[in-house]
Amino acid sequence: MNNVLILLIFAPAFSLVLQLLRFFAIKNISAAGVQAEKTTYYLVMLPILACLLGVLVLSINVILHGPSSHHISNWFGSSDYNYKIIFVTDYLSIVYGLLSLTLLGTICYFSKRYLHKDPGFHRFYLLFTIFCCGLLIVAFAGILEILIIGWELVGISSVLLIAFYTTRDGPPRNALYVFIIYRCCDIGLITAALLLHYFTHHSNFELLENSYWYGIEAPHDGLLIIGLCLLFAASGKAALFPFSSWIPRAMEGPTPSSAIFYGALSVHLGPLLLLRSINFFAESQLLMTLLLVIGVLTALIGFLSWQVQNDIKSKLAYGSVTQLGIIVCEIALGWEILALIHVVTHASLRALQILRAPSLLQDYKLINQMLGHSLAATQEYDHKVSRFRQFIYRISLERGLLETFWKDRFLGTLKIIILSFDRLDNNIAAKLGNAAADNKNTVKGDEA
Amino acid sequence: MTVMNSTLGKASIESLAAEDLVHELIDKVAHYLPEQAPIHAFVHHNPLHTFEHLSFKDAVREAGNRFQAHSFMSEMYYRTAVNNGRILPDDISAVLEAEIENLDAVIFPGGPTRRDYLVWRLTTLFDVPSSSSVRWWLHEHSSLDKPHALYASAATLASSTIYCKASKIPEKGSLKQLWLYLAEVVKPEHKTVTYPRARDFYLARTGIDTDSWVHPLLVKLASAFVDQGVSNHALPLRGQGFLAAFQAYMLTPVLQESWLKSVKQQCKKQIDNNWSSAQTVIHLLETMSVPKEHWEQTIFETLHSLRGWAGMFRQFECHPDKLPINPVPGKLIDFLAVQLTLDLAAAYKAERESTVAMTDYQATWTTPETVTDSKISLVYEAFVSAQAFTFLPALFADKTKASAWLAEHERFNHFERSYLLHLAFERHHRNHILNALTEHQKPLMATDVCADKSCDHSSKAVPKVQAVFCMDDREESTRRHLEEILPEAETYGCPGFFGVVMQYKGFDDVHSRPLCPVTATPQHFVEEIAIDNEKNYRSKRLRQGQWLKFLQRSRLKLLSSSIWTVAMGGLHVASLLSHTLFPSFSHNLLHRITGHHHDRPKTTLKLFREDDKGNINDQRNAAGLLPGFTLQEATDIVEKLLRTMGLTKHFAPLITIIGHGSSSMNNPHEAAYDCGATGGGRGGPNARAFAMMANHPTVRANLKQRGLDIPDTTHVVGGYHNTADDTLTFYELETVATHLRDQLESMEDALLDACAHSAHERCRRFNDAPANITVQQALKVVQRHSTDLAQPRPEYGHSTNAVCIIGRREKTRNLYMDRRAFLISYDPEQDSDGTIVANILQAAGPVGAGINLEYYFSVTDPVVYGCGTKLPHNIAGLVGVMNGHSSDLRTGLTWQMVEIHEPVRLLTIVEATPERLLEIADKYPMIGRLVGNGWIQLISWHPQTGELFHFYKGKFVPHTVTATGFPVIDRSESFFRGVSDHLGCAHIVSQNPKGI
Amino acid sequence: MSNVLINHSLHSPSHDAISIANSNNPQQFRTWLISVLSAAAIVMACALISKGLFNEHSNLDLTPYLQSLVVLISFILISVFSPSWSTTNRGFISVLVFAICSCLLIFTDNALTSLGLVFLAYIFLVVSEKNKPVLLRLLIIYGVVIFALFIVSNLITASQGAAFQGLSIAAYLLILGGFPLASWYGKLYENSSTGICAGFLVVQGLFASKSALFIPESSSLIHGIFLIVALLSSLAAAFQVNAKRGFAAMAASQLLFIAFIAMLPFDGLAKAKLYIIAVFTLATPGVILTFGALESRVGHLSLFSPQGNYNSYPRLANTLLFFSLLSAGFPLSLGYVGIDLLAEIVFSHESLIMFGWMVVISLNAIFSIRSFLYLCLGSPEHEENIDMMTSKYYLACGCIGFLFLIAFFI
Repeated sequence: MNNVLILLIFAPAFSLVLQLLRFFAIKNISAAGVQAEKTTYYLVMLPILACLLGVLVLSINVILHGPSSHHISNWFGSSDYNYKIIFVTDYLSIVYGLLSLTLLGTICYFSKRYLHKDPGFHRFYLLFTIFCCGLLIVAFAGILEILIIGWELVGISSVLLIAFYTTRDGPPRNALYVFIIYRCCDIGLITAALLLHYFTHHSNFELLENSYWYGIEAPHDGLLIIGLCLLFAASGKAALFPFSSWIPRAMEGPTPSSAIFYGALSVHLGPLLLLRSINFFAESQLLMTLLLVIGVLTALIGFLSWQVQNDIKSKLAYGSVTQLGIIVCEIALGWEILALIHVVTHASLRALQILRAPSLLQDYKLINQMLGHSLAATQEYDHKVSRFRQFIYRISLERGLLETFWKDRFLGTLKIIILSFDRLDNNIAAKLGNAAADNKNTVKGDEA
Repeated sequence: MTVMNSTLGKASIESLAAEDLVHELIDKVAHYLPEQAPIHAFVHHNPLHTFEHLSFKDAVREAGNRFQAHSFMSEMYYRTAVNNGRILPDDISAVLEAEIENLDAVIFPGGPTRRDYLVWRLTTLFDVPSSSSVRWWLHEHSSLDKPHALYASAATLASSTIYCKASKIPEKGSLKQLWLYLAEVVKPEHKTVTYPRARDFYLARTGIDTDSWVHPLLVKLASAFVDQGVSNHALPLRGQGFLAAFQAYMLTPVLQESWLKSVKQQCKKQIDNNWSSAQTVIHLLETMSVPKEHWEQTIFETLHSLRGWAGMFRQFECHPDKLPINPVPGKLIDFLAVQLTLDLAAAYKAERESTVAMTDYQATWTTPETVTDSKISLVYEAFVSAQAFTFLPALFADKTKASAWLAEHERFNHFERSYLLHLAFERHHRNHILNALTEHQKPLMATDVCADKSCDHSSKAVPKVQAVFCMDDREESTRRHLEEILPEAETYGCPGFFGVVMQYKGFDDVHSRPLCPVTATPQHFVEEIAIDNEKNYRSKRLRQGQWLKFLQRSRLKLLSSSIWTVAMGGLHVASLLSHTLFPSFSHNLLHRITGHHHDRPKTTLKLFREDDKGNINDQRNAAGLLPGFTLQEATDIVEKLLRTMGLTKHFAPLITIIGHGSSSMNNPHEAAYDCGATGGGRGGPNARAFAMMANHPTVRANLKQRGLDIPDTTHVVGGYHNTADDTLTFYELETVATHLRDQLESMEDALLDACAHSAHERCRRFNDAPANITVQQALKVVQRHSTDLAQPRPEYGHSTNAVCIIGRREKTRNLYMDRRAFLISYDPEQDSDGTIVANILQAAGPVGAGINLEYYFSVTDPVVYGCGTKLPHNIAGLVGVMNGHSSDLRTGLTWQMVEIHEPVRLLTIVEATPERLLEIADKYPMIGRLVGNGWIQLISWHPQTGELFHFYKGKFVPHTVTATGFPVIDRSESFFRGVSDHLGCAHIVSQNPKGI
Repeated sequence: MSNVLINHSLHSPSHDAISIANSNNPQQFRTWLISVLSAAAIVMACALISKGLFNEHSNLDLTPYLQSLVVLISFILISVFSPSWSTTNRGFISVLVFAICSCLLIFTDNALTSLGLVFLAYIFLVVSEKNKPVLLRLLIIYGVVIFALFIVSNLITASQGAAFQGLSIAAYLLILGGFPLASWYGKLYENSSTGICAGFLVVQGLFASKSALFIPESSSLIHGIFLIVALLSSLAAAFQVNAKRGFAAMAASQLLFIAFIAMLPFDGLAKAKLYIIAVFTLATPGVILTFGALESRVGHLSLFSPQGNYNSYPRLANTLLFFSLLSAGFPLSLGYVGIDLLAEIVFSHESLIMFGWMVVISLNAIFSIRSFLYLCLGSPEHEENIDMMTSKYYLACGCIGFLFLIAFFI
């Protein structure tokens, strides 16, 4: 099984290296034409198919012999610390693996036509491959450090895909916004790993009691703080409360990337992490309540925002947020299997919906024709509107005010403090290198 | 910052009351906003139509300055054209000869002539760095030490003393000397500027772009306001206008960004004072102390920072009837008031974040700032070309010479050079077409001149089939293939609404829509009604619809949506896979499941408001429209169309009229692929209506009285051509008489075959179709293109359109035109006084020019005039597309539509004498403006002699034929097969000579 | 913030056509320097390989050799990349002195020697800025203060104990450019040529790695002070609008990080220190060099909003991205390994402070990505042929590949 696992990780990584080499070898690859596009496509598609086969083999193995953990090797280490490379095959990882690879394969096939002739075609597939690597690593990781690597790969490829269109300033702005949230929440994951080492001296996953999948063993000490760190990490990736506001901003890339990243796979890594750390929530009533509260709030904010979004992609994004909130609630209530099914079905539904988002006009027309009248879902408030309605509307349109809070209140305050320091710094410099000298600066001395 | 002079006279600014002034200025500025209707009713129009009163060159320069847009392709593009032989040296010299005065004057005494310089410069492309990178550039390329790669590339007058010996490499230090001489002449230019908006001021001073704060909020609110049904709840109070809704929104007490506090205060102030929008605008402009004479500029710049949304508000204001569902009282002035309110607050925020005070901004109105414009790239350009001409550096020690040399470079800047190259490009294309037409006529003239003049018309054989198509360039190939397949067929072209101007409501439609050119206003309402089985079908549809609605609604609830998501999981996976992996299959499957195509009842049009007994129902409906046509009106319509096309004799037993449209998936711009002549609708109903009219016995009788004797044995069949998947539908075939059945069948086969071949021809442009594809495979490919969610190019629409020929089909029959020509049938022999051609020009001129120019500008600047790549598009409020989650509404055509387009102005060739065309241009100002200002290229094609005249600078210039090789082929297919680039014209001679 | 911008809009790098011609000197110095450095690097690499191969079981410490190899590579990078210092004699000499100083710094274990070396480098930094009076004055004032502090503390520490360590720490914070105390640092990057800055950065990094010599008895309090200053610097970088000033703040926080890990008294950190310093000496100068390359092409670099042009310089943009990711410890790179090793050990001793450093690293990553996104993406205007030259590109890619690959072979 180790070989199959190595194939899983190695196949996309190998494709990644080949693609990078092609970038070196072919000078202007975006002008290289259809043949180059085909080559890139096969370079990405074949590893995905190989991995799909691999996961199928693994799943047979898991069904026959039950979940197992595989210690591949050690990477590096010092006297009292060893970086272990451990992968697990269990029901959770094969479900995620199958889901990811199926969707990745589908989108890969879809994008070949959709992005045909786009100047960024090859870049898209490169980032796509990184994403694929990251997903597989996260799904099969058997130790938190390995999971972090996958987690970060997914993060950076998502961010670069949001910034896929380089000629406008919306994509980079929004990509930065997403990166900040990702990166801050990643601190939670890293800290969790460090804390686990501190308290239990290892961060391997252990087979859970119900024996469906592996999970992080809940230590006796530091249960709460580690649990909080994990929750923090998961809520960033999965756009849970209070970090939901990044998700509509992620809709800047080409439609397939929006579909797969923010509709289907990337956001569902949050629930994956929660499922892996289910022990914590089982052990601590407080954590479970917190998770439930976060789930409910996410669903509520998602739902409110969803009601009033007036462009199709944001609407779908908040549809995702709502469902994610509900999935989290299910996890908190202990219905893990239901949550897993929900993840799978929601991922496919959302991917499909985003893929066909540009057909909105046709779809509306069709329904209208069938009904024989306009599907006027929009309720008009022309005259008197109760203050409460106004209030709810504004909160919904501003997406639960989360962005206002983070961007304006939190970062804004920090910014004011830092900038006053900056001004101080500048003033000192101006005082010391005084104004008289400044004038001389304009006269260009020439030394040559 | 565009420096824009106020065009309202100073006197009128002062005399007008402030409020009137604001209204007047807004009306004026609104003309410059994009005039794109909500996206479901996309109609092609010239994006620069506001500038049509100017000549083409002035217009694109002016628009380019105002919108910061490119008006021509890059010089690289033309350079490639030179390499590919799409521009010949001849073309360039001819263009120079015609366009530049003093061509043979020397630039400075002893130096090269302007011609020498321009010929070299236009054919030589070198990179000129921007002023910020010149320093790096010189260093990186060691430009001051090594001669440029173009050294001695221009023709030199070696005998003259001012030149170095071309072979000799310049000695050390001389290049530096040359640089210094040229650099010394250039003085940085000082300009005074005012900043129309506070945002511009802060951007220039501090690098803070306040638009990055204002735009997201404004876009959010604007799209909530115009939303036509994406969201479930409308913006509160939107019935009272944008400003009122905005004020109410802002005054709602929630946690808000701190800079919005001042917006809140401002709103309170506005409400307390009960200001109208205009008063609000005035107040805000005065707060920013913009002087009255600059108001126009400020309003212009403000609105143009979000031109798509501002334009949409204008559309809501002017054409509320075009809205898909909800009439929303959008007003441009409200939008402006809101934008200015936010702008002001953002400026205060910028003031707080920087040390630059708002008062500094206000002061710039009285004491404008001076900015320095470095011309260092110009020095570089002159430096390189001086090397190309191998001037001795010492030459430029004379400052007058150096400045003359630099002035020449400044005069022929990027814009001028692109313009000249563009003219050369157009000239090459024009000559190719005109030569081809002349060549193509030769055999025709030789054999048929006598037939035209002396032989009797009646001796001509009656064709088996006559097919009338839309003038559309996409039908050119269909017609050509039909003629190849069925040499006895005759084809005609005319604008695809076939003279039937109507408001139409299809059997399945919820709303009616006009099916006629945008310039016409329909007076007649036509409805498609079922003959049988209606109830059954309707109830079945309704059941399906309610089920769908239930699903939609259930998704609106928090818990039911989850249940739905989980329960239908397997279905979603299957649906996702099948839709992406097997698009055509799943499309067909879905059709089969919903099954409404099978039991769709037979329908007919409620076309006439006069019954057989002559009773006329003149009751207008609620919208003020007449319920159908009278027989007299129908007769007029039929007669007019037949006479226009010159189809007055030799009626074939079967005449088909074929309208067209296009269907595709995942394509918000679907309407842009439909028929332009029906105002972005699908022309099938028009064809159907026309056929019904022409078949009506009373109409026939009336026509006979008017001298149009259509034999009783002749039947007119209406049809609809889907240009995306190349399928054909015929209407009401059961009314065809039995004795025509056989002919009908063979005609149907021929037409379907022609469409299949047309699909085959289209496939050469698609990269996913193999080069050696067969006709049947081609049909599959195009069908897949129109049903595939992943396909951003269902078809290429009007891409590559370049020519419009108004004349007899005999003259262009068997000429391969590569789907690049609008073909309009017109017989000059039946038009003695020129009224017909004038009508055609009036109807088809603006449509053709609109399509052509929309493609032209969308390809020359996909950012400003086009809407860029469609891949990240996001439908906002059902009215337009944005990029990503929040951006300006994007207008124009997508890059995927225009990527293969070659921008040339429409080459309109009319079979009429120059005198007649001049007369028409004089008489009809709209045509005169299009032609006289060079928005289209007009060619007169002499009906008798076959000579061609090009309209240039106010008069017709005869075209001299330069015979170049002209390919002769047996079938179209043998010409286009395996080629994916542009093809020229070719002469097809396989059929029996009778066919010609 | 705004002051800076105004300065730039008024005294933007002059495009005076005449001055260009005069400043454009032959590049012989540069070529000369590159060949010398390359030769040294090759010798060093050979020595390293032979030692590694043949003395497998000896206890010879290879660390300094590896370090000097990395330093040489980074100076080759500087010489190849940055055009502007090589146009003057003084610039050339300064870079040469920086290279010599940093090589010597690696091998010295003496506080006074290393102080002397960094002092020398500082003098040459000042010398190279002779024609920028404002900066010059600032540098001189700070230089005097810093070295007075060092000397005093060094002289007294031996006899008086911890009381005077404070002076030493202050001097350290000043010379490493800790925000907002060291005003000279931001100004230096703003006004000086990037080649000079990058060279001096390498010297600073190596000097920071000797912090244990100056602060022998470190405590959590001292670590906390370093952390807070670094945190402020990173935050300043994240909010900064002027890209080069932002970079200065980020570099300062990284320098403080190095100083922090160098003074840690715990066992088993040798590898982590080596890796982190190696990454710092290669990747971070790489970032400032790409900044410089970008500035020479597009003028003033602002981070207020995206205004770059990826289509015109994709290679430069990718180089910037990778250098910044590396310098921020991207997974699978050497920096990641180093930080991981470090965190494992330090966390068990000083959990909170290590957590703080993880935040600092994340903030630096945010600055890196921000500078890539805002400097390289955004504008639709396209300019031909201003991308990186192939040779430079391959060199940069070599460095990047080196830092990634070596993480798997350790």
